[in-house]
Amino acid sequence: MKKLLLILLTLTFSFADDISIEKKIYETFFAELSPREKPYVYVDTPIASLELKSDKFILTDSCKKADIAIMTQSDLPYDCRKKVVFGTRYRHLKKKYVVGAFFWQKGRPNIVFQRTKLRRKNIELSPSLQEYAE
Amino acid sequence: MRFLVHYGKTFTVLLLLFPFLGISATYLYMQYAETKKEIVEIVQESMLDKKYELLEIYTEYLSAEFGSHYVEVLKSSDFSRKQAETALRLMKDSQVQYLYLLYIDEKNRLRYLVDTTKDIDERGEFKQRFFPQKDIWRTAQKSQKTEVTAQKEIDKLWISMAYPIISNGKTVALLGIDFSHAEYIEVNKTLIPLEHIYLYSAVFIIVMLMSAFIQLVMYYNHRKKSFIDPLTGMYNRQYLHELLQKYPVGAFQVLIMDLDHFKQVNDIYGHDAGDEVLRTVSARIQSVIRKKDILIRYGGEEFILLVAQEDKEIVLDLADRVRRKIKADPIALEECQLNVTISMGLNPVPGESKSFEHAVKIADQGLYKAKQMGRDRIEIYDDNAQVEVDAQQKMCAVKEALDLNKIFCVYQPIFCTKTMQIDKYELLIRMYNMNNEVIEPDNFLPSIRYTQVYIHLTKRVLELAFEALREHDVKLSINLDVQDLFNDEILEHITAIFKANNSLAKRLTIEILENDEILEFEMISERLAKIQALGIAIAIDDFGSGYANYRYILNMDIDVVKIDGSLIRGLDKRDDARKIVDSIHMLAQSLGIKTVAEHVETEAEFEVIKALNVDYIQGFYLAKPDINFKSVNFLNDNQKI
Repeated sequence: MKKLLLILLTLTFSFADDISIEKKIYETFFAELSPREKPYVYVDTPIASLELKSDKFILTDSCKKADIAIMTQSDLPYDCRKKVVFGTRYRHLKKKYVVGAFFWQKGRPNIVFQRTKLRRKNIELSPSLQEYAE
Repeated sequence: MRFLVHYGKTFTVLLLLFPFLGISATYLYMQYAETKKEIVEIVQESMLDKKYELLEIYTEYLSAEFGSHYVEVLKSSDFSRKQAETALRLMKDSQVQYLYLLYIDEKNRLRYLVDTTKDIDERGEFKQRFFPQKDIWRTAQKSQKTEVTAQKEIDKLWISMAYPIISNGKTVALLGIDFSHAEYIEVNKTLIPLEHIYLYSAVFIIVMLMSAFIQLVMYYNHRKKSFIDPLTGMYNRQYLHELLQKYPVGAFQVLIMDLDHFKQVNDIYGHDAGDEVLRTVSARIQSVIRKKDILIRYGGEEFILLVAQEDKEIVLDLADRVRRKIKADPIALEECQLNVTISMGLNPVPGESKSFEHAVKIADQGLYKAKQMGRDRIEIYDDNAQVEVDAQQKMCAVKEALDLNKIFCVYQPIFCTKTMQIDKYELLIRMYNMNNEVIEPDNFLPSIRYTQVYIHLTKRVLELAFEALREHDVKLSINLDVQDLFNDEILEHITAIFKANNSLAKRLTIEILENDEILEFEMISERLAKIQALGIAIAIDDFGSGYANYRYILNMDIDVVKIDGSLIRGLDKRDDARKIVDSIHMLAQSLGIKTVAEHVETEAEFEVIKALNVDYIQGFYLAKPDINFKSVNFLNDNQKI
């Protein structure tokens, strides 16, 4: 798994376009953050990489139905906050309900998980992602 | 060999030159690209050096401002970080995209300490982890030396630089600079005009070369086509001419081939059938010769096969294969199946000839021999035979004259001695040479006597006589060599022309010349009888000077004897000559044969001849040969009589 992530984060950057890479990274997280094989994902504002067809998750317009919520704006509706919320900026991590974030900074991909928040959601990261946990 | 003839040396040189120039242009462009890369590297190095110096100054500043443990100070004080950021920002210019200070935490992770980035989304917050894509950070940390890497994967970055900050021998922080890709573009931009000039020049050169190359290929393809005979698809004389400019005549053995009785094919079945025969024969020859042999359509039904130097036996075997292939199956024409044969003459030692024409002349002698010996055979030039050097030139001249219709006739009147009226005209052959000068037969006939050209010429004379008889109400006399009577082709030609035109035949006399000694009198007699049967009269020319004049008049049914000019010349002063002429006349008269005195050039000679009662008289004294049928009335025109 770690190798896979390394491949995703390093080598594949050379060959695939950013959107495809981003999609694969998201798919990896979703698998970690939800016990479902094909979790429902809510996005407050459309993200190009998540609009691509995938057999690893299902996009939903409803937070109620969602297992995971992706936050791109400064906040999320109350209903969504109960879900496993993932941010798209480093500052999103300041929100109590945001368990992690994936964002691009200075042209480089950044992944951060916050252990305490994950624990509250009873989520245990696999060893390969422990590297990114704070 | 054929390639060189088709395209020539110039083409071959150009063929090699064009790719060379193309490669050279590409190589030069690559050199330029390499140079450009070096220039960029130099610019990059200079830029990095400057920044390196600034980073050194900055670390000195940190040390001076915050003490030797400035990393710890900065970690603990927002104010200090603000100060450090302000100072760091001073180093930022248009070349720098991101400039930041990282510290290494207790877990050996890189975290932001200070970041000069203003964009909130791009700015790393204090303690935020830094996720490098390249391992220059760890390398710089371990090696404690500045590391640089190109950022090819990140669009807006050009290169990144990791500068280690060392405290007590340990790397405690790293200064990072990400140089803007815009700077790289800027550097490249300055070189673009030069690059474009070179690129466009190279493209222009290549396009021009390609265009010139295509033009050349088209030109040489056209040239190649001009070497091909359109009817048979074989090479033509032009190709031969080119070939011989590049190779010595001795490079080949020369085999000349002529289809037997081809004229009859054209006459009987028409020219389309003739063309079909030529096409088929060409294909058959081509099918049995080797790739290295060169087949050329030399004339109407004449081919030349140039055989790369081999043993004579091999060449003879090849020639025989050709001969057998041609006669193996009849050629299917629309109306019938036609059996075709070919005769060949081989010159196995063309190297001994002074020119190709000379070599062909020798091969042609072999061909003539093959025709004489019954056709459908191969004859070789006798190595010991000697051929005059200029003979071949004359043969070529006659051949050309035949092709270009430069053979013509003049007519010299023959008068009846009693009436002094023109009885008939002697048709005398003439030829225009290249300069349109009139050439008399003594200058070319001996050189072509034993060649196929001679036969063609004889046939032409017969055709000219036929036309003259048809168009003018005159009697004509033409000259044939006695050897011509042995030639089936000529005999058949006479028959073909006059058999259906009996009235014309009756106005024709054939004067037989005797250049060689003839032993087969029976055959001659038989053939003369065939000619006479057509209505044509037979005369013995130059009577009194040949090998066996009397045998002719004794054994054959001769109509006229023409007393040799050597006996007439100076007749008035030579009593013995006068007696001989008188006896010839008396003998002829007793046998019912008419006599003609030729070469009468003076009045005195004329008077003697007249006194001897020779039946007919001819000579310059009376009338010279003329291109038209002169209507001369000697009695009226010459007041001397």
